[in-house]
Amino acid sequence: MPSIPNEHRQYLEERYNVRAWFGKSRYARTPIRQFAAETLHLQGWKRHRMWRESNPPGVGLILRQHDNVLEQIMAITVWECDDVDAAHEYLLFALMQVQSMAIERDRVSEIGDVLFRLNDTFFVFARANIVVLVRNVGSHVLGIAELANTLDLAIMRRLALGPQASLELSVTPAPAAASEAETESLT
Amino acid sequence: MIALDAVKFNLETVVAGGSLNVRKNATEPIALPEWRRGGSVNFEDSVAAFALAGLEHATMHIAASFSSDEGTLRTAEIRAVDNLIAPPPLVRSRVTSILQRVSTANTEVPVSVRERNVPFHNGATGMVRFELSDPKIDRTRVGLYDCEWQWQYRVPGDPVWRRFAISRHRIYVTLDIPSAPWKQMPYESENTQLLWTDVLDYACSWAAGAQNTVEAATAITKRVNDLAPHLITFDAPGAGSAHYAWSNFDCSAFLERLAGGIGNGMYVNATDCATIVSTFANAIGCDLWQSRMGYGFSTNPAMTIGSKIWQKPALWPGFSYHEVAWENSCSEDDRVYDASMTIDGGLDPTQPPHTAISAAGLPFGHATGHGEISFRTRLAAPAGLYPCQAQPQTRTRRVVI
Repeated sequence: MPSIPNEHRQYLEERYNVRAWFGKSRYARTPIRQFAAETLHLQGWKRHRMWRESNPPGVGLILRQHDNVLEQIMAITVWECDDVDAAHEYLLFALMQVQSMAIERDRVSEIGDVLFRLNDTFFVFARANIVVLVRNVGSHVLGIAELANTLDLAIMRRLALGPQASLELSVTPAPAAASEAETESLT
Repeated sequence: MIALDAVKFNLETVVAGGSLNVRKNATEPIALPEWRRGGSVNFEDSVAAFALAGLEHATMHIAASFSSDEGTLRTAEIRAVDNLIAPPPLVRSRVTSILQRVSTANTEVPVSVRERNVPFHNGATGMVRFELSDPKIDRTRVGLYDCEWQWQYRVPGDPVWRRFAISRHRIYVTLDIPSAPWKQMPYESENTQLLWTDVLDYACSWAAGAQNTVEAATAITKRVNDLAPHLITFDAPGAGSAHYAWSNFDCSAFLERLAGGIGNGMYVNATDCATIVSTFANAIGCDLWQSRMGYGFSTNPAMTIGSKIWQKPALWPGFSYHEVAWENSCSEDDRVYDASMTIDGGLDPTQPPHTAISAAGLPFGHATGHGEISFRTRLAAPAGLYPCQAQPQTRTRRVVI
């Protein structure tokens, strides 16, 4: 597990009110093993590349919707941690890799045990011992809330059904309502 | 008839002299000798790197091996001349065999590999050391050179040089041996941290002409910033998250992106830019780190990479942290190189009119440095100056994968 420098940890714990959520999950006693995110299949999307993360173990996927490769592309990374505490520690590490002060915890949405997002275009959440990061990486920015929700439901299915739960997902990310800043940065 | 069998550049695979131990990328090592008859056709098929600091006033050497089907040949004088700057004129003849063999007696052609006597034993020479004197290679600056050599020989008693082979090579000239994450040892195919020539292709080109590390790092910072908006742009939709340098540096994906592929996508943040700049600069002998400042500070208007509009980055309230390529101990007095944004170098960076300057080679600066052109006073809004502190304990050089 990568370390977080003390000063940065102090900032993150205060900024994201870590005490309110760290270690809390209804699924603390049922960690998922061998989630096999490499089998994740999103209907209508082609897998461009897959890589493995090692610490904690995980799988990253670059998915594209069309052959026009620079248009609609998404990246999904799924980490499988030892337990809920380790997942929340890694979620904090993920927040450490985000420059913006604009992301906030979403307490309304039911995605994950704990979810942080920027509008409809960046999601990082933890469910049980799993951490999921969903982002746009193509120039055509997509709303990915439904995708994040579907990924979370797949984790929930896995929690309920065990390894036989399918990771075949059906969801169609739609163009995001880009903010002024996002629109400008893409021109 | 003489044949050129092999050319070897990296004569000392220990860290000595000016030649560097290189590999092509994460998956492809480079075997020695670099040029082999039949297997090396294009420039990129035979690559070698030299560090200026290791050369100083020393002579650059290569080695080559030859064979002859004339068993009686005892010795020959052999050299190579530049075949691109001033190709020796062909001597036209209706007799093909003469056309192939006759070169020129002109000794004024630029000599790339200085002539020497080469003894033959049973039609072979083994590896023979030559002095490299290619006039095209500037031994004072960073550069990348494609050299095409015409190999010539002459036998005792015959003043005419006769050509017998062409070889092509790509030579990288760096300032010094690479800094971490790049390594020079152990020189083994499993060592993926040996210097990558796929990185030198860009680093030596971007910093071409640089004579010192500040010039090289500054040039690389500007060229990385210039990759926007077509190849990379600031990650406004993704909250400014790292895409290439999440923990290690996915340099393979970034090279794929540079070549026009998808890589890890078009978005980068400051961590990505700091890692790209420092890793590429360190490949040619700079000594930079990736290090952070923060935490939680408001910013002045700036132009994030890929943007042409002065505004607070992505209209966010501020940065949780920022990261740059940084010299020495990554403290207030050390210089920073930031390709992720263009900052205001004018009298008052808080408001228009804005004067764009590259954030390359500026000292980081102190919170009380009002009016000075330091990176800190340009980046952080007045209210953000204090929380925008150097965090040298975050200093790192991410491993390349």
